[in-house]
Amino acid sequence: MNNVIELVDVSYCYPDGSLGIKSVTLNVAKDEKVAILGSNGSGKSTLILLMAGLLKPTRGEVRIFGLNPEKKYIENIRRKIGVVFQNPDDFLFNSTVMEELTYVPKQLRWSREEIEGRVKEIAEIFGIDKILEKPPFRLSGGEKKKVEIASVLIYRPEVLLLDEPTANVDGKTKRKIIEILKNYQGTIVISTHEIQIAEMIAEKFVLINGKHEIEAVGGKEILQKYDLLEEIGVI
Amino acid sequence: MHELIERTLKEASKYFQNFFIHEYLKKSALHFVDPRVKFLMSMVFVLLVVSTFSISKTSVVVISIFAIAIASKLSLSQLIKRAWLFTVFSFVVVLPAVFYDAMYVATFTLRVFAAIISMQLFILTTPFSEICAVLRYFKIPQNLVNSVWLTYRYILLLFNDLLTILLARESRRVSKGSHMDVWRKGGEAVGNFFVRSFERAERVEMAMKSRGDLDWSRNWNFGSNELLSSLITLTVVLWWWIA
Amino acid sequence: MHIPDGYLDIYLVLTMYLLSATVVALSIFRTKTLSQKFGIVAAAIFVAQMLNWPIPGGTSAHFVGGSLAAILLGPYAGCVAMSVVLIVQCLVFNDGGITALGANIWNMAVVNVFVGYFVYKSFEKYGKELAAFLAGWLGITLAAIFAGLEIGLSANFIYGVFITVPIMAVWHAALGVIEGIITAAVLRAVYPSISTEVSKISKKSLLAIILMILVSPIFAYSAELVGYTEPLEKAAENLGLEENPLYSGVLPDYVVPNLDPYLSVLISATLGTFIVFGLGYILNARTNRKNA
Repeated sequence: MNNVIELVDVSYCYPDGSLGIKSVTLNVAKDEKVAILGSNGSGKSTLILLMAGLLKPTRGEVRIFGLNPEKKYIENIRRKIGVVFQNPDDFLFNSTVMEELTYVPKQLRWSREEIEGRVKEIAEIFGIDKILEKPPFRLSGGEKKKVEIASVLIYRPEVLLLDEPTANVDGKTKRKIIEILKNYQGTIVISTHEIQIAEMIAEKFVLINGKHEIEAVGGKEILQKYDLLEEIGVI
Repeated sequence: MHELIERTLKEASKYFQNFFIHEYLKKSALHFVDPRVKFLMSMVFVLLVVSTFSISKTSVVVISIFAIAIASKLSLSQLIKRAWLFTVFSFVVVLPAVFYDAMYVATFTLRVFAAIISMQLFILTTPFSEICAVLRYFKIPQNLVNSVWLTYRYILLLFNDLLTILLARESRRVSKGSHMDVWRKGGEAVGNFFVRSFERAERVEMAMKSRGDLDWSRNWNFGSNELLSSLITLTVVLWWWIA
Repeated sequence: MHIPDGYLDIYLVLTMYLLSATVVALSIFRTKTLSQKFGIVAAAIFVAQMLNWPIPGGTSAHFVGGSLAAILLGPYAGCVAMSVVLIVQCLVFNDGGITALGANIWNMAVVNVFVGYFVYKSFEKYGKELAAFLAGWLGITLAAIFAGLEIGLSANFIYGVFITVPIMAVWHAALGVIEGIITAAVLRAVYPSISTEVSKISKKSLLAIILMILVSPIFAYSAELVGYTEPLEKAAENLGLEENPLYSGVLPDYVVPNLDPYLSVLISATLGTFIVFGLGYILNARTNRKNA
């Protein structure tokens, strides 16, 4: 049992009838670093949400740690999977950054010392120790993104799913995020339309085309096939 | 929260099917009739239905609508599909009365059905922008019509917004919660959603100001299609009168 | 709580339209700068209503949001926003009938909103969340009671007010607890980030509307009294319109005397269907030719 996430012929349709993703079969192994590459609106975000068990596929089957993400196991799955949403405004809903960081640890009933230690540690890594008492909606775009990723990494999920983690942030923040993700020990799935970002983090690449299907899957060599990359619209 | 999202998604897909009905409904002859005339026709039918409690008069309206639908190639199954839910609901509501007045139950149910399909004759064959233009023509205040249109226009976008906010919360829920938890946490999520929607409202308002007001004036015309529709309406009224 | 077409008789339809139009017109006037932005706010309320909240026992409930709109936007703007929601629901989704629109606006955009606001303001000093809970709960319960009153009074609905009102009241008083909890939770989340400072509301006009709400059942009841003594057909009879000249001219009753009444119904039905279908057919043929 080496696969942490398995998708078998998965399709998803949104309630308004628009297609999210079509007939996707994909496995993600433990500690694998995967990048999903595709143009805007190709279904990358949908794929991330399906892999997290947050959306239920319209057709096909999703297995996470060999389990169906249904009511019985859902909290167990959530504990092991961290999802970083594309827009931090969707994600940050607590009244201070501190509460944001401790949101999951509190649910997991960590001790106070443990929480304090971990917050200090993670705040240093991200360089957000000065803004812990600020309300998240008053932060700058880059700060919001860092808080978002920090509040997921804090509970040490085994799998990290990131939807466009470097969109709309400046160069300095971008480098910081990439450095942190490179040091992360565990499975990573990242969706992006920037090849450079994907190349720096991932070793396996999934290309999604404009018809919401998987065009190709492969290692670094696939990034040399310029005609393919151009066809799916990432260069 | 898990359950809240799943149930909402399931119901929403039914909702949005109605929303996009104009995209997949085949065009009928009624689609080409001036919406003002269609609106008045539907209103007359509805008023005929609600101002009587005679089963034969109600049947006149139902039969006429069926005849119009068949003749103008408007999907009869769509018409019934859009009406059956409330009809069945109303039937169940008055069902206990069946023991002392079966006729009442039949008439009441038929009336509900007739009123709904009367209105659907207009709604199914008129794009919402045209419906707004009709409202404006009948002197509903401009800003109210604008608001109605923007509501329609932004429902889908805001629904996706709310869904993402709920999913983001769900992704960090690692412990089971009670119903109370779901209501409170979900309520807070709806609160975040409102804050963002209010901010969006300000931006949309500015964008609209920068581009000028919505224009609901239309080149209305009263030609032979409209004359025929009026004749149909008149026939139904007369027939209803003598039935 | 949306009343469909066919439940209310024509007298109630007209009364409720009149009542609602008065308050909505006043609200539009009071908000002065009624602007497009209401459209987006109304869309947000609409979307929040689409949420399907699970409740113990496996069923679910919807959030109405009248009191919330009142607290966040003030009663006049809240009334307009809720009316917009109801108009769209009626014209797009067939939620609530067109003839019942007046009644539905009255219940959910007037009673729920103004009572919600009144309750919130009265209890605000004991805590915002408590006040919001009470406003949500009482607003929805009272709206349901009014809906019960209207369909109970309707001559077309077989159950009287002594059945409809308790059923609606008990059911929505139970569901209203969720409405209250959600209203309070939303307010808690909203409060820090936007000021809910509503421009000064004149107490006099607010009281006038509350008073109007309280006496509205009397209006509805008297409309029914008129209805009982003077149904449309009877009125026509009085005016001597019953013997319609067109009727005797066109239909066989005149031409063929002593016709069996059932046969006459059959003939008029066939003839009626034939004419309507025929005219529809011509319409179809014309539009086909035009688009060919």
